Parts: sequence; structure tokens; C-alpha cells
Amino acid sequence: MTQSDMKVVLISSDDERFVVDRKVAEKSLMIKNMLKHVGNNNNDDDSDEEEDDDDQNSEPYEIPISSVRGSVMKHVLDWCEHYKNVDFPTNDDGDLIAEHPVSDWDKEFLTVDQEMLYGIILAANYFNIKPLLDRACQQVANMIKGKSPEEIRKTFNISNDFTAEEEAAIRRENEWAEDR
Amino acid sequence: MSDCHNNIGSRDETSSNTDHTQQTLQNSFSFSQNDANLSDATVIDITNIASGYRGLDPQVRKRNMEDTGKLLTAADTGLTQVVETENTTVGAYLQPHRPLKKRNTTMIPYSAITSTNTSVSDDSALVAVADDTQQLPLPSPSASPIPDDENQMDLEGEEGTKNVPQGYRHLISLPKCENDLIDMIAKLVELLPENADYKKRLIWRMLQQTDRPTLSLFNNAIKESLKCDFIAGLPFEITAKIIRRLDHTSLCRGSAVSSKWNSLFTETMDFWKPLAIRERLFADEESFDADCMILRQRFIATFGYEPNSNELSKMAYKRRLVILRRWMDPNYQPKRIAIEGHGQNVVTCLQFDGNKVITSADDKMINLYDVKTGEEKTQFKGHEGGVWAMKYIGNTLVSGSTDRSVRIWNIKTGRCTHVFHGHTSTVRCVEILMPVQIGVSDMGEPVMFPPVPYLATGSRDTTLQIWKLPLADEKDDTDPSVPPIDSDGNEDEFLVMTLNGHTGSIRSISGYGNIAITGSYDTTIRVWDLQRKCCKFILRGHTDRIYSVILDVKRNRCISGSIDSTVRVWNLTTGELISILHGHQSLVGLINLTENSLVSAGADSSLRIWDTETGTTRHLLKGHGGPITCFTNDDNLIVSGSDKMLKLWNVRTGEFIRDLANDENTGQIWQVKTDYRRCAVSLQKDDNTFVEVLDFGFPEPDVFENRFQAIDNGLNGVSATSTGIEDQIMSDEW
Repeated sequence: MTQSDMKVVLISSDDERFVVDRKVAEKSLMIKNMLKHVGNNNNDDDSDEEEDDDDQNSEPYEIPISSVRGSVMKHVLDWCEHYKNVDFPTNDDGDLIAEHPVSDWDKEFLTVDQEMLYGIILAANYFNIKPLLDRACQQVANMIKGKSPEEIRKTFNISNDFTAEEEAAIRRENEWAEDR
Repeated sequence: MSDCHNNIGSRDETSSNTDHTQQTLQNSFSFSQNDANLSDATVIDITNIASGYRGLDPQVRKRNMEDTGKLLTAADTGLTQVVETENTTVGAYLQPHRPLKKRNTTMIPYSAITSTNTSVSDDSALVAVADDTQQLPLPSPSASPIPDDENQMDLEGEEGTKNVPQGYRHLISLPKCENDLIDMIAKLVELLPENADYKKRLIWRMLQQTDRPTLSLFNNAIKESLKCDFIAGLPFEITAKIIRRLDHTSLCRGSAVSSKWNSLFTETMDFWKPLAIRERLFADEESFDADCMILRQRFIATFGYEPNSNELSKMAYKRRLVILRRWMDPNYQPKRIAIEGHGQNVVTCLQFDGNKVITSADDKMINLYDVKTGEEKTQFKGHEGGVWAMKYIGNTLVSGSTDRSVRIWNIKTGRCTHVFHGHTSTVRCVEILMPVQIGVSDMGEPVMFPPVPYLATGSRDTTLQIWKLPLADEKDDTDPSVPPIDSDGNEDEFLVMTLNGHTGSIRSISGYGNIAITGSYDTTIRVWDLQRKCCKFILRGHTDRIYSVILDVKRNRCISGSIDSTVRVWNLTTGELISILHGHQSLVGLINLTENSLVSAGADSSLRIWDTETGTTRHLLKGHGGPITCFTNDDNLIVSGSDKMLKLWNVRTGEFIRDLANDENTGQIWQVKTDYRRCAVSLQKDDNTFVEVLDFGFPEPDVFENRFQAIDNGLNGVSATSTGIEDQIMSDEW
């Protein structure tokens, strides 16, 4: 068995089991790190390692993910599957906001109810899937962009706890930022 | 789950019989066999009770009610208690009733499911739904209004509730009306264990019995209830990622959403500085910090206390944006100063900053003017021929002339401190190289090059000479009568090397660190390694004289413009040609590179903004009536000049904004440079040469107006009004 066709089983908080290719699961840097010493890429190790290998051959590697529920996990793994052959640059110098537009596929993928999007963001953060996290954050930013404060409140169901006086003061202070 | 979705709302299924529905449900949900110990008997029991009421007459309802009374008492107790039924112990499996939690309590407007109006408005009509387990927070009837006649119900239920503790009696009261029945069913639902799929299964069955219009109604209510406040709810590092992706309008509007948003947007990290640099309102962090320092001083002078640093950043951003909008506004009238100078001669070079404008001309002179007043401050005299190359850094000015010499001047004192005689023909281009880190040594130490500031000079004599540049030193340079130090370009302390190789005049130099590139009339570009004192590459390909070269340090490339009408992009790692930018119809004398754009201008009277990645023209700027004689640009604007015309363009969109020349006597435009607020031009008017400064930073933007924080400081929102003193502080500082 080569490393690439090794299967990994991810078990969600509600005990759903997801069997995926290692390659797909390793879109998550968290899992990639976890699997670093698993499989046959450590030739210089001794027989202990080989025994481990044998174990994996008979039984796929199981990883319980207690902080992600099944419905979200399914979504996140769909994303990983779609991008399994894409290598994202690993340079981690903060945010590469450099205008990388969300692709149509991602847009479609991220068109979900807010609870799901919320779950995807937390899961992407937990799994350490930076491109997904970035795109999901971009999606939320796009939901904010171009909206008035009232429209933003409506979009996210937020109640306005400013006094009328405070609100007027904030509006005056920020008048300059309104592009006319 | 996808099966489920197909079933819900499909017209065939909505009225299907129970057996079929049950079957579907069993298939749809995978139940964990081991997580719920509630026996099947009990489930069926409850199901029967619940379904038994439909359509039964009150008498039958009452009887059934009595039979199961003991089971019902367990609901909503908040305690785990054991209640005996015929053959099952169920109490042990009851979950303690959990109090509603703030974070996961979703408010659904009751009106959302009772009418088509789904707007969140009336708090009194809201139904709180506990959502601790992340299940669908459908409106739960558990919080439905308790009937008014509670006492009466207690009495009625007395008979069957002798052993029931006070306070739970209403649970077993007999339903008198449909509302009571709903209430009771809801209570029954709470008997189901929270952690298993039973509730989902129940809701699913109810949904399957629901017609499409009602589903549509629920759909809206569900969507509404699934909304969540990402900004306030997510961990801050993720929230910050979202906020960093917003533009200035959204940054401001977001701070007006709620007090939580306001504090996240304004009191956490500084979102303005990275935005200002990303949007290229500032070239780098240093210039941003410099502006903040001036604003801070002014703020303290105005308000008497230390400003919040995020607030300062916002004001620095605002100031630059206000000024940029003036550039973009064709009707804004910049403050203009016109200065006569250099007689009727051609101005060859122009450079300026916030204090001064320096011009060189073929009248052998270099003039320095006050950028704010236009007053001529200094004239640098000494060259015996036209000055065709000029550049300054700090207080050190260097110039090259047709008299074959290079002169070094002290800008403060106006004295020529050095004359370098080395070239045997006109000095046509100069470049200053300051020490920068070019690598890391084996020991991990940074390697700096050049060791001291270098001056590179290119000449018609085809050589490139590298000199140690003596920077202006004020302390011993007060006596104007001290003659300049003369270097004859032989073995002395100033000449570092002479680089031979070109077979034609060197027309353009660009350099950084240990690399200098030269473009020559011999149609080649040479890449020189100054550390190893050798020619690294000869870039061949142009078919005619090269007029300009630019080193792209960031991408390790070089870009060249030639009279052969092409622009070429070269790889400096391999020395290979990357792309040829075709489009111009005749000689490309001028190219300029900024962070995000490459612009070229040609004798074909057009400018082109290039996409260097694809080698295609992003924008073609047409409008000039003759060859472009000069242009300058940053990542927002281009100003270009030709005979009688000075035009302003938007770099991002390629749109023409306005003509900046306002005088019909305007003749040839010789040179133009801009910074964020000013445009300095040298031009001909009625055959005489002028320097004109257009200031878009006047009047000074009032960045303190309408400050929200004024409220906190008891100023009651009264906007800070500028005083004459502040204006003076401002105009002195910028």
C-alpha cells in the first residue's frame, strides 16, 4: 500500500464516520501533521514503524474530531476533495488578501445557511485549512460590503443597542467614508 | 440526508400514509443503536398518545389522558425522577431541563410562522428556542403562552394528579382546546433524549405532513433563525481576518452596527494601516507612521490629550483619501504656483519633496525653489555645459553635464563639494546606490552592499563609472569659498571602478545593492555585479537604441524601453527574455514601474498600462496630440505631458480624469513629477520656461471633524473647529 491510497477515517462529534483518501484529509495541515509519522515515508525508522504500517494496512487510521459535527465535516471534506490536486502556496505571511477572488466553485460551495458557514469557518480553523478559511472569511466580508449598518444588522440578525444620539454621532464621524 | 430533502415538500409525499412515512424515516436517519436506552415500547406509547388525539372527541381524549397521566408528570420537571408506567421505567432517561443559554438562544419571531411578515421587530412576539445541541432551532412550542386559566386546569386535573408535586400539575391537565393539545404535545417532545436523533425524527415526520406553503413559511423562519453574528461570535483572530478584508466604507459602517461591533472595529487592532498600504494611499509603513506622528502632535495641540493610536491611523487614512478624491474630481481647483526660471531653456530633470523643487536645465544651472511659496532659494552654479542628469538624496545633490564632469553639491549650503572628472564625454545618467542587505553570510550575519553610498554614472563615452558618494556634511561646509575637491578619475579615493563593455552611449541606469543595469544605444542591456566588478549578463534582443531601463528588485527582473517600439521584460536570475510587450507604434522612451503597475509612454502619443504577468496591455491611454515627453505615476494616478497638454489619468481604470494645464499659452511640457498631494511640472509658457506646482492638499483636510469620541470627553459631539494656530502647525509639518 502506498501512502497516497491510504484511507483515513474521520469521526465527527455525532459519531458519523467519513472514510477519505489520505491526500484529501491532508488538505488539513492539522491532520497532515498528525499523520507525519504514519505511513511508509519514514524509511529510516526501525521495525516498530513497520509494524505500525501493517496495522494500517488492515485497518484505516481513525481520527476522532470531537469539535466538528457530521454535517459540517461532510461539507469541509467535499471542499478538500475538490481541491485535492491543487497545491496551495504554504507561505504563511499573515493574510494574502492580495485580491484573490473567490472562484465560482467556491462561491457556490459557500452559499449555505449562516449556521453552516459559521461551522465551516470554525472547522477550517480547527483543521487548519487556510485557503478554505480565507475564502470563507472573504465570503463573510462580501456579505458585509456595500451594506448600510441597518442592512448589516438585518443580514446577521443583530439588534441595534446604540442610543439615537450615539448612532447619530457615529454617522457624523464616518460621513467622509461614504463614497459618493 | 439527501433523500430527506427530496421527500420534504414533494407533492406526492405530503399526504402519504403513516406507514410509508415511517418507512422513509427509518431509511433516512441512521440511528446509533447504543446511544438511547429509551425502550421502543415507550416511544410507541408516546407516539400513540400524541397521534391518538387527532380527531377524537373530548371524552376519548380525557380517557387517554388519564391512562398516561403518570408518564406525563415527568415532563419539564428539571429533575430526574422515576415514574412507573405499566411496564417501563422512563424517568431515569429524562434529561434535566436545561436553562436557556444566551449564545445559542435563537430568537424566532412568532409572527414568522403565523403570518408572512418575517421581519424581526416586536420583542413581545419572540419565541425563545434553546439550541444547545445545534439541532434545528425550529420554533419550539415549549415556550408557547401558557393558558390564562391555569388554576382551573389544575383543578380539573386534580383527580389524576394526587401524587404529583405542586407546579407540574398543568402538565397533566386535560386539553380543553387545540391550544392545550399543542401545549401537551410539546411537553411530550421534551421527554425525548436530547442527544439522539429522536427529535429530528419527530420533526421530520411533522414536516412530511406539512404542505408546501407552510414549508415555505418555515423555510423563511428557519433561515432567519440560522443567522448568526459572525463578527461578535467567532474567535477574534478569525473576526480580524474578516474585518481585514473590508474597505474603508465598510470599516466605518461596521462600527455603526452595534456597540460590540464598534469595539471590535475600533478598539482591537489597527485595521486602517494595512488597508492604507493595500490600497496604496501610502507607499510604505514608514510614510504612514510619519503622517501619524504629525497628526498626533496636532491632536495633542488641539485636544490636550494623547489620542488613541487606532484613531490616529484612521485620521491618517482619511486625510490621504480626501486628498486622493480631489485628484479624482475634475472640478476641484488645486492651488497653483508658477515660477519662472531657466530662461527659455529645456528643463532636463526635476525632483521635489515636501519642502523643495529642484530643476536642472541645459542652461548649465540647477535651481532650487520652495515648494510651498515658489521662492527661488538656491542656484547651483558651476557646470560649464548643460546639465542632463540630476538626482538628490537627503542633502546631497549629484549632477552630470555635457561638460563631461559630475558634480556633488550640498543642498543646504549650495556649495559644490566635489567634481569628478572621469568620463570623456557627456554624462547622461546618474544613479545613487545606498547600502542595503543583499544576503546573509555563512555566519548568519547580514551582508550589506555597497559598503558606503555609491554613485553610478553613465556616459556617451560608453563607460559606466562607480564612485564613492560623499554625502553632504554640514559641519565643515559653511564657507562657500572653499573650492571643491577634484577627482580626476585616476587612482584616488573616489573612483571605485570603470566598467567597459558597451559599444554605444549609455542612456539609462538603474541599480540596487550590488546590481546595476545599463541601457545603451548599442541596443543591449548590461547587468553588472558591482561586488564582483564584472558584467553578469548582456541582454540582447532590442533592434534599436534603448532609452530607458528599470530594475524590478522585488521580482528580480528588468524592464527596457527602446526606440524599436517594444518594451521587454527580462529575467535577472537567468538573463533570459520573459516577454515582449508589443503595442506602441514608435519609440518607447519612457517607462515607469510601481508596486502594482508598469506604464510606458511613446512617441506615438499614447500611454499603455501593462499586465506584466500576461504581457498584454491592460489600458491604452489616448488623448495626447503629440509624442509623450514625460509622465509620472503611482498606483492611483498618472500625469502625462506632451506639447500643450498635461493630462491626469486613473491608473486602475485607465480612465482620463482631466486636463491639468489651464493656460492656453502652455507650450511644451518638459518634466513632471507627483507625490500624494502635489504635482510639479516644468513647462514652456510663451516661450519662457516655468516651474509650476499644483497642490491638491489645500486646504488641509479637517480630519478631526465630527469626532465620535468628543462625546466621551464631555464635548457633546461639537466638532472640533480649526483655529489659525492649528493650520499653521499643519502647514509647517507636512
